[in-house]
Amino acid sequence: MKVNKNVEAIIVTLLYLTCLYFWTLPIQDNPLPYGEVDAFSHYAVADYTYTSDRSVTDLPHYIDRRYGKDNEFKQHTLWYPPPFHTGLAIGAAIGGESDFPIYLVNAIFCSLIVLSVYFIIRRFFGFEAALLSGFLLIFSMRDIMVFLWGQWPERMGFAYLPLIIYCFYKYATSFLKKEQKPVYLYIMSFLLAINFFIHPMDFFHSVGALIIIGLFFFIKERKIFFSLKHVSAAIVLFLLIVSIFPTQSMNVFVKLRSGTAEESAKGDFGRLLGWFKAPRENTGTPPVYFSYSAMIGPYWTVPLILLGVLFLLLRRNNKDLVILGWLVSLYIMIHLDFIGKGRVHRSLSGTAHIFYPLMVLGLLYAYTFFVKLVPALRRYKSLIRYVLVVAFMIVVFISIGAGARDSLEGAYKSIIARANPSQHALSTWLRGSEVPDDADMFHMGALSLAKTRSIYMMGHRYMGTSAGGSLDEKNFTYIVMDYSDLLLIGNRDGLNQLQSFEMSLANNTLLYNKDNIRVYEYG
Amino acid sequence: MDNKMTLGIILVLIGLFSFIFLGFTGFRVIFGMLLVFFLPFYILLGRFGLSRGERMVFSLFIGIGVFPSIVYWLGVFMSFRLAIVVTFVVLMIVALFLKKSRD
Repeated sequence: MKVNKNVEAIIVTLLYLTCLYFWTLPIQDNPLPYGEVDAFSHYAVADYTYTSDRSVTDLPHYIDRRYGKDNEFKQHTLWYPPPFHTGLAIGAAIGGESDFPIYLVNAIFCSLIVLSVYFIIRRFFGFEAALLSGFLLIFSMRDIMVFLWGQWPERMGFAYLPLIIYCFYKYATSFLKKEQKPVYLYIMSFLLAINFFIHPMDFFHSVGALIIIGLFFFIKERKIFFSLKHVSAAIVLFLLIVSIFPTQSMNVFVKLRSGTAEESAKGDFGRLLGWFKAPRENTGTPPVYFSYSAMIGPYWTVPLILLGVLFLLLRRNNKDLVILGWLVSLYIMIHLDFIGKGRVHRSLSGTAHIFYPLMVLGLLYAYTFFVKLVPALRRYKSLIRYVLVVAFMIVVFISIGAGARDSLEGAYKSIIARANPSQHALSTWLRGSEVPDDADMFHMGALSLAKTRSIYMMGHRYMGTSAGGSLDEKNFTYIVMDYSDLLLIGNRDGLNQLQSFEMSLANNTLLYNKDNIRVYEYG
Repeated sequence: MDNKMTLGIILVLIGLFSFIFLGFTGFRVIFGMLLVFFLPFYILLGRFGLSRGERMVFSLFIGIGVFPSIVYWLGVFMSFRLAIVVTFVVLMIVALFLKKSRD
């Protein structure tokens, strides 16, 4: 399908705005922070940067209490390289407030995969394949779930892989044609370094893909397709860039040495025959996360993926090898538990990025094959192609799009899923209160760890719960008696227990008393 | 349809979308991000013989990583907001200087 470049630019804009519409649904009506515990750690670093008007070097107490040891190379400093969180904070500074802009910029960052997959598929296989792949990715449930829960840098980092392998392809093919274009290799260095900064696991995915694709190129071409001088310069450039954040970069290598697999299928050959098997032990993810039909699409799409792979295997030009190398490298990353390594269920979240393009290629090449087989159809082949593309978009939207939209629209919508207005008021008061910055507060009435974390990350004061030890064990100096959630869900027993405990605080100083929440100085 | 008209349509689409669904704050954030993350790097990458599509995509993805990195280090020594302005101004001066020297 030929399409004018300017019209295409408008279509791509509409595609991405559609994506952004869906991915910002959780904040369109309610701008309060949401997510699981990880989300609030990322929010907190960005929010603190914005509110303190300074870059974070040493962690403030309320972040340090939980994340102070996550940087194993230099404790009490940022555990991720700063660009991701600084990017969110820049959004907050531009927007003039904290919560909504941070979540909006994050939605943009996490959905960049739609643009990068569109880009590589457009360059390799044309407009329709790219449009369909990008459209499908908007509704990739596994991406959406991870985005909603809060593994934000991991989501964003995957978007760099398609561009990195594209640069590699451009450099290698230019070299093979004797029209060397080392600029692609240098751009690749920049992208790899940024990929490393955003999320180390995604960086290793990219490196894995480069190794496999390089191997495929070498097997096919049977000659060296790079200049040692260019590669050395690219490596030096990469090392120079990653050295600008030494404590965070070194943390990655320290963690690599001490890293163990979360799930182990060491020596289980059966594991190699499937794409993924839901782990027996609890990885903190719901079982539905491991379901193909719930996360990727209906089972009738599996043959399309296989057709896509078959088509690439039969043709095997250099572009096909890039996509196949990407697929094989992802397979390896997802099966690292076979050798007792990796956090393979996290790698699984990169599946849709390659499965959807393969599905689309399978569909388009099945169509081409069918038209060749039935000569009578050739006269209408353009019309049939348009109808096929539109029909596929409609069918896919009905199959996965509606569910994805409902998940995004309903995410953390209930009154108890995010901080309620009383808890938000408490957070706002805490920020400017006389409670010292290094105080440890005890949150009573908490419904979940994530809820407590959201309140204290917004309030800039650390709060523990009974999950982390009893009141006296932990030497808490302030107590938050929070009846607000228990009242909202009508938990009589919980309210009675809280009230009877509060009677024992009669001799303590009451600092805050508003909307069913009281704060006492304790001890 | 020429390039300028296309750019105009795209900016109007982004503007309308931002205002309708994300309000004035969303509008500011989206256009502000395009300005600081994208524009200086788009001009800088004009030197390297890339196609328009490559230049657009690479400048966005490189800008998202490089701009905050510079702001971060400046923000250690000065106001974070000032660091954003200084980074943007310096990058724009460098980009425009290089563009002029090429032309």
